[in-house]
Amino acid sequence: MPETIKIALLIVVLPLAAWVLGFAHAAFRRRLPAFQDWISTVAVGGSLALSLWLFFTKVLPGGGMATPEVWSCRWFAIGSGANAFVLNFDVMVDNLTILMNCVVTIVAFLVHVYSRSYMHDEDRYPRFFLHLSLFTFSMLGLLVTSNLMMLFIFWELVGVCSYFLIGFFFLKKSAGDASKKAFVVNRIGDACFMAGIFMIGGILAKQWPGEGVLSFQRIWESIAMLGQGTGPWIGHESEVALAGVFIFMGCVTKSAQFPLHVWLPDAMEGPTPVSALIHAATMVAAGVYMVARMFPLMAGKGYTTGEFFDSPALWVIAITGGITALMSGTIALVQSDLKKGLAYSTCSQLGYMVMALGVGSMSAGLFHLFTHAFFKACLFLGSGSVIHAVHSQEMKDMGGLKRKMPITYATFLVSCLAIAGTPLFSGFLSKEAVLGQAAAFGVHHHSVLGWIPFALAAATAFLTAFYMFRLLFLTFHGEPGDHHKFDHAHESPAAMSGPLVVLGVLAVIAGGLALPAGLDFGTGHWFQDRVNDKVLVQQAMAESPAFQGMQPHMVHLHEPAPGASAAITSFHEHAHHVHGPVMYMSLAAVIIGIGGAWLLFVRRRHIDLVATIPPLARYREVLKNLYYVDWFYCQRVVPTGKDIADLAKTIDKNVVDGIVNAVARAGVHVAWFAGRIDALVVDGAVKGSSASMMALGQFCRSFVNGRIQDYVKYTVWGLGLLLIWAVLAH
Amino acid sequence: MLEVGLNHYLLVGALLFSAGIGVVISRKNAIAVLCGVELILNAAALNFVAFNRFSAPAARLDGQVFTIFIIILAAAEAAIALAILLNLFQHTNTVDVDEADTMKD
Repeated sequence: MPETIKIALLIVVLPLAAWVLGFAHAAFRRRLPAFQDWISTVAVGGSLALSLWLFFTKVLPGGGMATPEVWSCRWFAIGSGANAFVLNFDVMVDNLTILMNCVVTIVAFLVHVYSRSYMHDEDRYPRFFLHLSLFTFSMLGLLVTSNLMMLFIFWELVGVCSYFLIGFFFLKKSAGDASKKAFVVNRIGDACFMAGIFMIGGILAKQWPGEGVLSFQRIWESIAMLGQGTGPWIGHESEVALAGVFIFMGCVTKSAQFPLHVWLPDAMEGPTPVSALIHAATMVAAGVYMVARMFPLMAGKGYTTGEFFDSPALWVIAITGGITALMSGTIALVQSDLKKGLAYSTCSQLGYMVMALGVGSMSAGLFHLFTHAFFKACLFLGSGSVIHAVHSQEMKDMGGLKRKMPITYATFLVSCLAIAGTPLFSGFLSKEAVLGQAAAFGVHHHSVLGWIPFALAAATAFLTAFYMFRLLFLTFHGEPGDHHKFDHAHESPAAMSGPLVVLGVLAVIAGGLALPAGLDFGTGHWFQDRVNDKVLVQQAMAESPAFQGMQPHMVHLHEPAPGASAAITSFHEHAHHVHGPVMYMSLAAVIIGIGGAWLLFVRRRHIDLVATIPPLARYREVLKNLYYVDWFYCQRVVPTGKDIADLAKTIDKNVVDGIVNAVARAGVHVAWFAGRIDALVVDGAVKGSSASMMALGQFCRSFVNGRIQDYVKYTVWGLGLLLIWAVLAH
Repeated sequence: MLEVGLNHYLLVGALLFSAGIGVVISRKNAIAVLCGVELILNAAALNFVAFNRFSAPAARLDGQVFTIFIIILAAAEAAIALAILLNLFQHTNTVDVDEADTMKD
């Protein structure tokens, strides 16, 4: 096992050890250790140190890891021979894994530290850390595995941790309901995800019977083979897109994409550090990560040549992401709850990432994921700090807090600037990359349809700056909404403000990873040189025959590789051309958004402009009802589901139960009959034989009656018989 | 004139024996049974004597000797049997052989 793999596995196992320790303590002592917070924090701190060490030794120097470290062993096989289903324990460590490990462990560690202060007075305090450890383990496991089935296992594990933590305050009915909602909605996507996995497994098993076919490498290879006109997908061309969409459905629920985004805002019932860790920075990004890993599958047949801009799966992804970004962005405009506003903003940003993948840019989507994790975690922890101070999540209870909470305000402001896409902050570069790719996609397609993702994303860019600064202004500026609460508000202790400062700094410098090497936007980018499908897929698969002779192509701001296909070359050219205008547009978005928010929420704070314009007021009603998506589910989908369930129940009771009962009754009759046969025939034979033996005994016994005279009688008869015999014999 | 031969003796012996058996089997009185036994013994004795008279060499008297033994035996047997009968009577207050069926136990 290579050393890198060992360290990566150690990173994964440390939080698990913390969980096991706590669990074992609970098993033997009937309660969790009071120092569970220390165990968990130290464990995740260890993971953090190891992740950073990997980052500084493997990713930072040179060009990063040129090829991934791969290790695999057979976990189990069901069946044997060519029909066996084999599940391998696949581990892969590449640039993306290490970067994501760093993101997860940094945010997780800071959230642990923050929670030790934030959650300290809550009941079940040790249990909270137990869940956090289990979540950290699952999330890290999800990142190091390179097997779709194992990824799914960890996927479900993070899902169940999310369920535990959303419902952490389960005595509150809304928290219990929210956790159930998250769980049930996620089942929909997970069922589709599983269907996709089975489809891929079934089709790939024809090419490699009896092997672990669900590893990423096998899936990539099969797609490359499809591009060459061979391999298992031949004859199943249309199923590539179907499998891609099924797999993407897993991302739709986990990453809260329209129309299954409804669980994420409700998940804000969970403790705020959980919202920061799970529902902003890491778990919800797992869907984006997964789609990025499955990018060749989504690209389909054109992956080898770079002609994948018409891939149906990518179209679905791009449009879904765009719709989610805009829709959630607009809903965020009217939220009065600080955390819910941030939740819709998370949805919207996740939409950006998904859309970036959909328009063919793995690195732009992942870069936005990377930067977003820091500033969104910072925003959530900041909101937690505010909630801690005023004991309310409603923004009407806040206002003017910047005087009381300077550190929280500063970090919140930095993160808002980052998410809005202000230059010099990390969000500027990542958002600009996403928008640039979307614009290039539009130019490339030369059609109205092709411009839709960019149009959605651009509109969202204006909204993002606006709604984020609306949250900021309503919370920290202006006059206090509730003087009593305002008077009691205070800056949070260092254990809470410390993580805020670290994340605030990261929200600025994380973007530095994408700075061009030579301060020239045309040349290499640190992040995009390390995280792109050329390095992560094509170089990793260089030894596979299917990838031989394949021109590496990269979809980002870089120059295309020499000899790349016409589509790639032209796409790069477009990306290069739109780069400038997009940058100006996103600058304008920041200025207009922030300015608009300032005008409405600081300058004219008490004037409701929207109410004076009837169409806007009506639209606001629509937004407040969340576009009636939840209403539709509650009023239409759920009753229909209940009707179907009732129907199924009726059928079950009358038909299925009837059949079962009839079979049972027939069984009873047969058994009665068999019982009679048993009693009469079998027992009869047994009893008869014994009775006949008894009778024979009794008969023989009757001769021995103790009367001498009878004995003599027998003697005489015997004698007589002997005489007769003697006479007859002679 | 009828010559009395061995067969006549044997016939008488057989009749005696049969009569004895019949008495032994059918009579319920134990003393009558003993009488039957005497008849059987006498039938045997008669046979011994008859065989000795007709079949053995003249100098031999084996049959007669056996007969005397039988008579002695019968006397001894009668003495013992009567003693048993007395005991039986003391126990059961009867000499009915049907009542004395404890041998089956």
